[in-house]
Amino acid sequence: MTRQIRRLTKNLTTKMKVGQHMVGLQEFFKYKLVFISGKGGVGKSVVTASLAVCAAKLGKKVLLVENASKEQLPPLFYYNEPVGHHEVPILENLYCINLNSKECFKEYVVEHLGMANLYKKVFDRKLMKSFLDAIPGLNETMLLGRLYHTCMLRKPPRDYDLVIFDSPASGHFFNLLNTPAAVLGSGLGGPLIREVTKVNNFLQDPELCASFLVSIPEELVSSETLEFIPKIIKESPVRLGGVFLNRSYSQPIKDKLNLLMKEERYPSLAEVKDYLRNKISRALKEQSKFLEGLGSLGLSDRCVMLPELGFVTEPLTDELATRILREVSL
Amino acid sequence: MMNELEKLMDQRKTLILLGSGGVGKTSCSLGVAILAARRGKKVGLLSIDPAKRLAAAMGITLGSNLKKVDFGQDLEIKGRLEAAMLDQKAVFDSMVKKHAPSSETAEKILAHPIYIAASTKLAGPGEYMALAKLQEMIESKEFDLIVLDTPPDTHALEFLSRPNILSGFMENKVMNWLIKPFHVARKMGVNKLLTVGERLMGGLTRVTGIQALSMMTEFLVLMQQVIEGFHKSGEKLLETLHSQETGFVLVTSCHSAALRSARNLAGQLVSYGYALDGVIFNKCMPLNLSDDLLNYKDEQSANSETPGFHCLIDTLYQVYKRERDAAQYYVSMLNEQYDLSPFAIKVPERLQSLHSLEEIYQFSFAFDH
Repeated sequence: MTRQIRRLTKNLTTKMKVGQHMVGLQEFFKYKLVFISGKGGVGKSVVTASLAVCAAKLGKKVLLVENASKEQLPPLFYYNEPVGHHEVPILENLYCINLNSKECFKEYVVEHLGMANLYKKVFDRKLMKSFLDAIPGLNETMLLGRLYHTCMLRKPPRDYDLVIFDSPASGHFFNLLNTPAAVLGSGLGGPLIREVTKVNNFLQDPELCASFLVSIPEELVSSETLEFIPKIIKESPVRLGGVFLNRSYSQPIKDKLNLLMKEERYPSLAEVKDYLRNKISRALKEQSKFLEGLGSLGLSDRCVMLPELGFVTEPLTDELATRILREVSL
Repeated sequence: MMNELEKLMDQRKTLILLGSGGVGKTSCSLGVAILAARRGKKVGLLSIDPAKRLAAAMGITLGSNLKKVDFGQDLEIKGRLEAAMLDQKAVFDSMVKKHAPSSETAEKILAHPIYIAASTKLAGPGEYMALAKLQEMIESKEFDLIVLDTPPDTHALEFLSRPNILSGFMENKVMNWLIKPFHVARKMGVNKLLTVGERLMGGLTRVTGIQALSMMTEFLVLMQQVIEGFHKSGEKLLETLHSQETGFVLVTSCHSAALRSARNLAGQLVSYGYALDGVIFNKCMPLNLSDDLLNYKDEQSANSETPGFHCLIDTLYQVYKRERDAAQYYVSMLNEQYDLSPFAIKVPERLQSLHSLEEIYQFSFAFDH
């Protein structure tokens, strides 16, 4: 178990280091709350976990957050029990929680407003639960409120240096960030609104919060990311911190490909070679197109490249992953 | 010879495709729908929040209406395909107009701040809206087959359980409970609300403020009939979803995260009492490579001079092996754990995304080859 975790940690940090700009990452670690989003299937959770491990290794106390019916993060750390709505230590300096918005609401009423009795008498009833389910935006509001609370209102030793939220995919993420504004714009009042105002101010603070998007060099995904970036910059309260281009190809892979193409033994591999050449050169083309696109948005210095690990998926312990990692980092 | 998917199309009237994000659900839904249309069926395709490029390639604009896809002269289609790529607000609006007791009420709802917030800015209702649209399509009886492309993963689950949530809402008579005191309070003036002695209302007010509550309730009063309308079509839909007319197909890639989600989805489907008919393993390595890779592996082990010949090819071989094993493992897991025996189809990856109707049309052949 411990050996596996050690190996995993090594893999994850290697993954971050080979993404050339360790300096660019300093930027990442300066925030209190970081949202990581992107289109589904781009490796968002693995990237999020990698970043959390890096931050923890740099000595920060990190809380890794998700909000999912089926937990994605703990299995990456060989933690096979669900962690649920509890801050569970996973590695040194690193904690994991699966935030449940109903529990967040309960905490808000009981701990924050100090109305335990009210909660028991009113909100814990089946009838009221159905009603709460039907209030649009309540879950999102509670979730963001809890993140704000965890980042800003905790006293040592329960506080964190950095909270990283493995956020929903792009569209839902955008809606999530805009929930406070929607609530504030609906003309309501009362304690909840005062709270939401605080949360929204927190989200808008460029020193405290940032969002990062994960993309891959695949046409549909990178073009959607490029379309999404201006939208998230203009229409969401949170500053865009940067972009991670995951599964990108670096020089060593290009060299390997060239070597392979020159190889004349194994004539039966012609189709395989074609396939690889096609696949890698398409990805390279998309990669430069994406970087160009970022450039025209004035964001060329905000991209961190993370390597393709040889089509390997998590948990990153296969021999294969380790080998490709070694090769990419040469 | 017909494959399992084609047989399924003849057995079911609605096919629902589920899967986690990035596995290619929308592309597969298009492929399946076009396959059915090629086989002579009148097909309706319903997609939520699709990539704009796919909608553009199909010649379809986002909205709430179905539009016939024009395949032109060169692409052979025996049946026909009508597709709708849903815009949450457009469908929400049309449902409100349909179920509201009068056009004045509908106007009031559409202009209500809570409605505006809920229908445009917030996540959630979109999924339910799609179900309402699906029910409308089923009722129209205009289609031999309807293909529904669902939102990713957890949202798909929410989506399928939503008719139940709404039923709970109705059965518990939440509406009556909540609205009654406000009918009273409105007559007496909102400030006297608390003296009405309604403890539930008082509790909510202390948390959200009186204004929030009165707005919410005003909204619910307006929405009462609309919600009842939704509820009725939701109940009907729930019946249809559980009947023999509806089949579910999982879409996944062979990546472990996607398979983990797929496993979870299968479990949830079973717990809701839905039937899982098939699994599409999308984005697989092209099949024609497998023999070459196996031969290479044999040759290589026979020839000890070239150990680890080229890492790229070794990698590819490992991927091939993992894909093969993952698919087998997944299907037998479904069998052992949930007593399901769905068919499995492997669809090779496309290195290029679908740009034109012709490319999408060609892609549909991956499903009957």
